[in-house]
Amino acid sequence: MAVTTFTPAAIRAGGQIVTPWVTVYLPAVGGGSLLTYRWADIPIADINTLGGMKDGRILQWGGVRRAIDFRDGQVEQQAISFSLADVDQVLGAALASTNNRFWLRGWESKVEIIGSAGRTALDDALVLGRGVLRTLQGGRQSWALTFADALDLDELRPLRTLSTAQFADLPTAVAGAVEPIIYGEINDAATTNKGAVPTIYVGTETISSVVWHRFLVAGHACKGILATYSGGTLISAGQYGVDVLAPGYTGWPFGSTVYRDIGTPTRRYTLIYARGPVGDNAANGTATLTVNVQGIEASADALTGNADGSQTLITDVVKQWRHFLANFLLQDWQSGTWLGNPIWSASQPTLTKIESTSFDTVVTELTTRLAGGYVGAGVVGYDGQKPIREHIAEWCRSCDAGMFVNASGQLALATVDAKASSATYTEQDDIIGGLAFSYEPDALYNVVPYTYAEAYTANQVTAGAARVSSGSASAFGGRRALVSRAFRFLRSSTVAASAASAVLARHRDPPLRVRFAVPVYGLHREVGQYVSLTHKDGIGSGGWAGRLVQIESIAFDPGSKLVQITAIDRGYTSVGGDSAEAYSAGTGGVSITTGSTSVATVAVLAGDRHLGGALETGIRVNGVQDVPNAVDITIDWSIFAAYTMTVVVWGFTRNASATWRAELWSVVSNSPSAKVAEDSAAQSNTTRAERSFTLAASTGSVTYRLRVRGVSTAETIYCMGSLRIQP
Amino acid sequence: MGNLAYGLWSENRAVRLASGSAPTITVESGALDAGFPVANLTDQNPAVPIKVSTAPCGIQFDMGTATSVEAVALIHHNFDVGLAVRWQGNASASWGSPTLNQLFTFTADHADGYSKNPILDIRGISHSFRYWRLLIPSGNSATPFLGEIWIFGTLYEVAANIEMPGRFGRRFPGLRHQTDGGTLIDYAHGSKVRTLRAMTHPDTTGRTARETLIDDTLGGARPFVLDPYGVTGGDAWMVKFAAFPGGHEVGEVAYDVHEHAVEVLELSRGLTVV
Repeated sequence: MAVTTFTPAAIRAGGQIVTPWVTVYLPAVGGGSLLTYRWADIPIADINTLGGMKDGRILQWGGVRRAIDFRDGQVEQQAISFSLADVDQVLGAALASTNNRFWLRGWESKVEIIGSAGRTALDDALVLGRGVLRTLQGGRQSWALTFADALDLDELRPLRTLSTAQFADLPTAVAGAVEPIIYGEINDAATTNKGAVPTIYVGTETISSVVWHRFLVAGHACKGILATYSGGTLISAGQYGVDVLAPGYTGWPFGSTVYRDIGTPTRRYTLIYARGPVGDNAANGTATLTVNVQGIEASADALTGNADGSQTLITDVVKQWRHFLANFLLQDWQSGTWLGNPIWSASQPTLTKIESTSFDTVVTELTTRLAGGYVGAGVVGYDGQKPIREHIAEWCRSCDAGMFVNASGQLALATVDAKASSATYTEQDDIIGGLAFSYEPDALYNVVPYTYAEAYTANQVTAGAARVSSGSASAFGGRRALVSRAFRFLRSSTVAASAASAVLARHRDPPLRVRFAVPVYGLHREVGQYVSLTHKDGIGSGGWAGRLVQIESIAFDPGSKLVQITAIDRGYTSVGGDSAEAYSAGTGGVSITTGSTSVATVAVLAGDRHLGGALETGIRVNGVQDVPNAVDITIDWSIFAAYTMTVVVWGFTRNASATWRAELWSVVSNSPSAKVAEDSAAQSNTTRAERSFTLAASTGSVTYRLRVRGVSTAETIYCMGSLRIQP
Repeated sequence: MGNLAYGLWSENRAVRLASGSAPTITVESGALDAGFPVANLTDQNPAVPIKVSTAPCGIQFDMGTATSVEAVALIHHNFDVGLAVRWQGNASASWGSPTLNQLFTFTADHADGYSKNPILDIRGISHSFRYWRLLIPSGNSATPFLGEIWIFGTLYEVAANIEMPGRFGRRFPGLRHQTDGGTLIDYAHGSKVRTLRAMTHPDTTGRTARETLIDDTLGGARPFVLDPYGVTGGDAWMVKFAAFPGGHEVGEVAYDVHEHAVEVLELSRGLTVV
């Protein structure tokens, strides 16, 4: 049957009986069977449809909410909550069951709703939300349950790491390192021509009685090795089969199979082999083997396929994200064919976890935005493991899209581009309780610095020319810079500039949010959609007439039957008008270096930046030492000459008789070079105190590091600091 | 209009025999849907029904010993007008030719879709048997369901003891919103509660019956069944006492011995069933 529809006409006609209910599934484990409960706030005896009887045991609905965040690539979780009576110990019995009670995290819920007209027509219900159990609180009489979507955002989703289970003589230095996952084409032939992706030495393998050094390119089959380099020198055609074995090249001993399936459990890899001076120098690190490479390929849907290197390279960054999400974040591909879009759960065998069509829609929208779409490429894993939340943020930034959990509990993607209104809500017919507004001045930015095209061999990134809205700077009191936006999976300057421009377009005017409520037919809307509002409360003379807003969150309270919508105003006239869309090239800013590792990251124009150190970790100082985990900051004084740089330090010592002071040093070649500023007075405080001192302007680019000095005697010092950058 | 008829909770033989035990209730023939089991028929909640999956369907009540039944009410159902639902009694669990074999009479639903609930009065014939059976035939236009059965050990009728007609009410819980432009949005919650407020009279018979009923419901905590229009009224209500004058909570009753207003409200039958 068709999913039911709440039409405005039917709702306004009155008398609709609108009934939500929740279905809770307890998975079959330990020899038990799947338990299914249906609960509502009134007994619903659906004798012929909709899953049958719903017990009237819900005491109070807490609501159902879902949202999207376009600002920083963060995904917001869906939330479902309710409390229910359990005087007859239905839930209590399930909790006492050895078959089910230990699997609380597997409990699932689905909230559905239907009206009396839809019930009579034997429609399918409208799904409002779906989630897995997060909390269960209560006692013998009643329980309060909350559910959220299936993704645990703070979970560390471990990617595959190098192990002796696959590589028997794996060097200990790389044991445990994340195996690289390569998307798109990473190729420096047109620029430095030294090989853009370093390989990892993983030991030896005897092939036809000859011992070869083997080097890992990727933890999967690749579409192709475009070129191989030894210490930056291109491997010539004549060296293949002699010094180097690479898939697709002369001498490759494994025929048309471009990958290697190795170990137990079997894992699929792209490897190249070398011997002689090339192999020895690569193995001992004196001449690294690097490659230009085309990464993951798949069938035409860019999601499934043989995973054998034979199909189509995935070039669109949105499709790359979907592939990574499906095969590496939501599932744990090891070898064989790609796993494709996973099903939601055993209780929802026909529902996929990813709303694949929403990704396709974003691809289309980005292709409309920029001819050819957003071509992406990048290596996942070279910088170690990270929580799911960070993976999502990094990919969404490169896609310039927001991720959300749709009403069915699927992960979906949306951009701000599709500005067609999906519904019209008016003061007369639809909006209940007026419009409520909130401005967010802190979300106003008119300078967007950004980076792209990570250089994996040098551990560096490329800084794009910051996008600046001079109109915004003029209208809203000056320049205000966003923290540098890292487009980690974009390598094209054109695509990165497009993404940065889109970020600027969303932030150059102070974002305005509007909250309003509509009847239950608002449940047919989805976050990311546009609606038009007509209401006298609209800001401006005469209010709003057909004002276009984009939905950021939808919350439904079954008790009040109100659909609360929060949306962001997209109907304003930008400060600069259309001409402001032609951004002027701005400038980058500060470089940040972590520890002694050379990482050049163009970052911010203003704000506080951590210099390292910790109040929990003391260091015994005899003379001067770096603070623990020092973070070096490089200032380009040609840009920041007019800025005020203040070093703010918090610290204390254990011994009141000891004195110490904080110092800022310049750094050359990763080593402290000279003291350039210091606290004016030595300290002997035994409790935390804040101190600050100003950094004098300099010329050129200077890298700074925070250090502490024991002035009177060796003593344990606890110290941390920040550099405050103010226009 | 006939005299108001009612039955006591303690004399509902569907759940409580004179011995205090419960009858044995089984699906004797046909079948019920597993999601709507026979226990729903006597759970004192008409909103939770049985659903017949295979008809004819016989539901047998084994009272253990011969038990007098004066009437039977079917609460919340979807039986067609003219459907030959039967109430049968026999000394043995053999239903080929039961000694008592009576038909219920169904009338058209209320305009809101809720059923009228018949009371079958069998006081005029021999009505004491060990085995009783409700027989739901095939042929109903929709999948048959039945919310509750009430088997009257005794059917009481009050004549001069209650001042009728009383004050009737119908409550349809709902929710109203008004848009900022004034359009009204009205939802129904999908329930209907009928109420009746009437004066009881102060003679000894009436006072005794009233006190018995109050005691039997534990001051309003337990339900009972009445038909305000009498046994021929064709519409039984499963009710509880509303708050009594002078009493503020369930279980607390204060009344004037000479004259006393009582108010009952119907147990929700839930949504009309599709």
